[in-house]
Amino acid sequence: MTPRSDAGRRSLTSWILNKGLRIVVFHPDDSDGARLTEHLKRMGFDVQAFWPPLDDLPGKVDLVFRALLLDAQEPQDGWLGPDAPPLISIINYESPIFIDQAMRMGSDAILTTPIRATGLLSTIVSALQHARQSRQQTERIAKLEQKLRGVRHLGEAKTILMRMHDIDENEAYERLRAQAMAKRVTVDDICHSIIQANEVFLPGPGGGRRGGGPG
Amino acid sequence: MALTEPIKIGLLFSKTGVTAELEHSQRRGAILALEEINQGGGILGREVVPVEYDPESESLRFRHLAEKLIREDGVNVIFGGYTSSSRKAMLPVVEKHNRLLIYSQQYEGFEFSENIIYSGASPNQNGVQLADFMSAQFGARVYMVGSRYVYPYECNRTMQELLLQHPGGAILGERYLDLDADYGQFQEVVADIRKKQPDFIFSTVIGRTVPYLYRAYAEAGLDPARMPIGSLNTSETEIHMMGARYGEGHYTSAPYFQSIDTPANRRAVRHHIERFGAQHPTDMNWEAAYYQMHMYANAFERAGSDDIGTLLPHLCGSEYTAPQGRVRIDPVNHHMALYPRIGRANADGQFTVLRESAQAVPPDPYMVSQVLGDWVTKLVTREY
Repeated sequence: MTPRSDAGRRSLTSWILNKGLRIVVFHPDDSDGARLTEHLKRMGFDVQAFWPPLDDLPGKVDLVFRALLLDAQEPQDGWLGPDAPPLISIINYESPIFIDQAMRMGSDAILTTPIRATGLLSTIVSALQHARQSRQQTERIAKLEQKLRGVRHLGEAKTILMRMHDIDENEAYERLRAQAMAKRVTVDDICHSIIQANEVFLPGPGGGRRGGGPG
Repeated sequence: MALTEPIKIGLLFSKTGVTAELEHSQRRGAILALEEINQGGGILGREVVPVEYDPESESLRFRHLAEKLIREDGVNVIFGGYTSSSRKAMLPVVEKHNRLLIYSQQYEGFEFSENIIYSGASPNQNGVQLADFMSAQFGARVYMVGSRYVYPYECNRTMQELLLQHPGGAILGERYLDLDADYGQFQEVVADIRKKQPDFIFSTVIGRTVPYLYRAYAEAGLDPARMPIGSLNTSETEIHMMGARYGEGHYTSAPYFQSIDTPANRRAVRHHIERFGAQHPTDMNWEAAYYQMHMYANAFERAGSDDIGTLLPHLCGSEYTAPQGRVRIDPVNHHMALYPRIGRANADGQFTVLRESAQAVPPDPYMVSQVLGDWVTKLVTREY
């Protein structure tokens, strides 16, 4: 029986608590701001608090809390964007205007004032976990899309070779693989070159047959 | 403790600041009811004594004074709050100490607290009716102007969603001004309104600045017969503040107007005039504070105490013949079943009621099922 891995045994919540996460709080210095930062510190997080919000985050930050101003428009902080750290918005009114604003800003969770210690840790864990899963999924989708493009390139390149040299599919693949090995590049790179070369020569009436060595 | 010991209740109505005039009116409604209760022998033979402070229209003062009423004066129930910001400021206090806040003012909805009773209209009891009436009478191209805080934002969002269901619906402008904005800023907005020519103007301007909008409108030569202002909060008191000639011809959607012809309203208005003089009109804020005080006293009579745990079961689901009609506290969401009405301000500074609901409309504070033209209760045409 193999021993269980450390990651499997360890609680997600205590792992998050023990990571020494850096948290930035953009909240006015009032009773809610105080309760939030105090409880974050109580739980052992490394906390910095600012108001008004900064345009750029102070170094590497793992989680941001952002109070939404009582305004009809969502804030346009400079640090917001696809690469921003996970975000928990704080709203004063749990009404559509403010919930929608928080969602448009890409919040991973929302807290409503008055801030309470109860519920804060579960909100943080859930926001960080969802943000992480979402980032992993985005990366996975990007990889899959690239792979899919590779399969399409291979098919196209094989078809070109089969037509040019009157060979079968296996033979076409072998030639691509051999070329890739000889040139120390990926099969996809070779395919790409063949497709490009074919596109260059295809339209010209006398072009096609002299396709020559790809790359 | 002697059973004849007075019952202390907390009152937080601003005597100064941007919403003082409206809160004065709320206070007159609460005090009138309180005196009626005491003249009738009090609650279970005990006199009701108000403990009052002036929050000065400042949310943070509402919070501190609510805390003071509970900690130092030992009250169980607080009456007061005008803006949503003031209610929101008191919410954590009454929740922390497990006391009851009776908030006597219509607001934008989307809230519930075990420790708050929400009197005054929910958005499905005034906003939906106004959208329906104004778009049918004048068209659905609206210009929205309001004060800069949550109530106007949320009301405008609701109004926009309703009007855009209309084939000709359009939002021609959306402007927000501070609660202490000056007259010049309203002149600018009115100049823009004049340029854009909407079918009507939806005003969620609040408090002291309300007269500025109506005055700037009149002075720009705009005509209420063609392009009126519709509001959910411009009451007899705001009209009194601005002068009847500025309000005349504009519309308000509310469950109460002073002109309502019911026995309960005739009696309450008569008492009001005897007590405060005819120079002070009654209004929707006055009425909500008035009936809510009576509902509190009636529930206390049945419960024997105003400790929240004892009182709430008797308050929730209870009914009362208010000046507007028979109202009810919804036991599920703590808001009121009320009678939506549309009034047009007249030359006397009063409202001519044009439409009213034949039955009480249940509150829908989360606006779950509100579609333009699809009323829970159709309004009946009236003219009084």
